[in-house]
Order: sequence, then C-alpha cells, then structure tokens
Amino acid sequence: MKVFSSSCTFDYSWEEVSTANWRKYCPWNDKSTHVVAVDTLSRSVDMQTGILRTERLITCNQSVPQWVLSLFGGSATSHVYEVSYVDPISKMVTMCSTNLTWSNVLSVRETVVYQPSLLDPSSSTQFSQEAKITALCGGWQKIKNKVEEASVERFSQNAKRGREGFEAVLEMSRRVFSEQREHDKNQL
Amino acid sequence: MAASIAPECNEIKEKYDTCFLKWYSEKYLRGNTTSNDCEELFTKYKTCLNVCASMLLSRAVTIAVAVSRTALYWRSSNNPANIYHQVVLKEKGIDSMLEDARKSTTKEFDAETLRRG
Repeated sequence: MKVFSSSCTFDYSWEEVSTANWRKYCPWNDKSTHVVAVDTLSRSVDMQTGILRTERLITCNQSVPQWVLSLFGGSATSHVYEVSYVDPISKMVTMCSTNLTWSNVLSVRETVVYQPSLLDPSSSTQFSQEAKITALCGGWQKIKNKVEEASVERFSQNAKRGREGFEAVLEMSRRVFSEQREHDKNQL
Repeated sequence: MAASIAPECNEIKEKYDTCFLKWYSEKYLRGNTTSNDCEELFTKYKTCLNVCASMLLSRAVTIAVAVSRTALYWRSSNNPANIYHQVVLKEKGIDSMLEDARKSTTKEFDAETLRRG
C-alpha cells in the first residue's frame, strides 16, 4: 500500500469553500475535465447531529493507454463512489471515496477534510487529503509496487490540477454571489 | 454544475442542484437544518436516473462487448445463451458495483466520521 497525502489553505471562509465544493466539477473548473458527470444518489440530514450526509456517483473519462484497456477488458469510463459529511456545528466537511471501476485490481480510498484554518478561521480554510492506494492484482510484489507508484503519480497530478481548478471555482462563486447580492439589493 | 451520467436527466439535475445550493448556503449553513425545500425535485431527478439507467447501461454494454477480449468473453462466445447472460450481467454492472461498495465501505466511512465527530 502507498499513501498519498497533501494539504493546503484556501483564502476563503469555510462557508464559501463548503458551498463551492458542491460545484467543484462545473464548467468554471477547466482543470478537472476528466470528471464528466456527478450524480447525487442519496442525501439526508441527521436529526440529532445536524450532519448532512450525501452519497454521490462520480463518472470520469480517463485517458488510459489502449493496451491497458485491452488487457483488463475495461473502458475508459470509470466510476467513483463518494460519501460526504458536513458538520455545520464543528464546521467540518469530510469526504470519503472509493473507486468502483477496476476495484478488483486496484483499491483507492481517499479522505478529504475541509475545516476553518487555525490561523485565520473566519476567512481561510484548511484542506487536507489522504489517499491509500493498494494494488490487488496477483503477481510479484515488484509489479504491485510499480502499479501503486504509477497510481500515486497519477493521483498527485490530478490532485494538483483539482486544486487549481477549485481555486477558479471559488473565485467565480464569490463573484456570482456578490453580483447576486447586488441584484437583490437593487430589487428592494 | 456538472452534468448527469444520463444526459436525459441534465435538466432536472440542474434544477435540483440549484435548489440544493440555495438551501445549503441560505438555510442549512445558517442553522436551519431541518427544512426540506428540494425534496420534490430530488424525487423527480432520482426517478429520471432510474428510468435512464437501463438505456445508459446498454450503452456501457456496447463498449464492454467491443473491448471484451477477455477469457470470459471467449469462453462464452460459442454459446448465444451465454452471451446473452453475460450482457445482462454487464447491464447490471454499475448497480452491483455500487451495491458492493455500499456494503463494504459505507459502514467504514460512517464509523470513521462518527469517531472523528
């Protein structure tokens, strides 16, 4: 098993980040074009804790080499199952996801957490991400290591692009919200 | 907003997502966690997804069959009944993958988060 982890700070409030997070994969994000669809499967609020729990199916089109497709008999479309939890009291978003496609070959478990940053909790948000990647295919350890290394590499590239794309979404969200407020004010 | 896995559902999904985002930012984050503004749209969206699932999966089958150079495919290639069976299995592909993931990971995810919280 290999572990990929990264963290960063977004200069936006937790409220802004957690809202924009719902449209992380929209046309404003031109860096995560491998995500082609995001569908909400279930959504509920826990009466006792107020935690919002959401299950989503994320559909990706990865550029996979043709020989890999032939070998595994798969298609370039892959699916990720994600369960997320928003705790509005402690201000924490936790997103857990796992791959559905090729799950007999490779297991990718990712956990992402967004919470107010310690230094500037009212206007900046800490993002942390951890992915556990395990090759499950039989065979030599050497080959498994290679598969895991290549997957971590791919994961880290996607993570970097994802961060850049999310920055763009945050910027657009702030602009749209302020325009909306302006519009509402003029209506009154 | 991102598209739906079923293009036929894009319109209703867009409406639901817009409703949800408004509820989330204007009510939920401000402490009104029990309101239920978008339930009706969500039901319509889910119905659309279910209706489209079969069409969608048959599209996936076309791809799956095209790339099936696997042992499974060859074993069944002489027997039309087997082919049909494989296709039906593939048609259920996403459903069963989801079901498996739900069974094996949901508890774990829930437990992790509850422990944290």
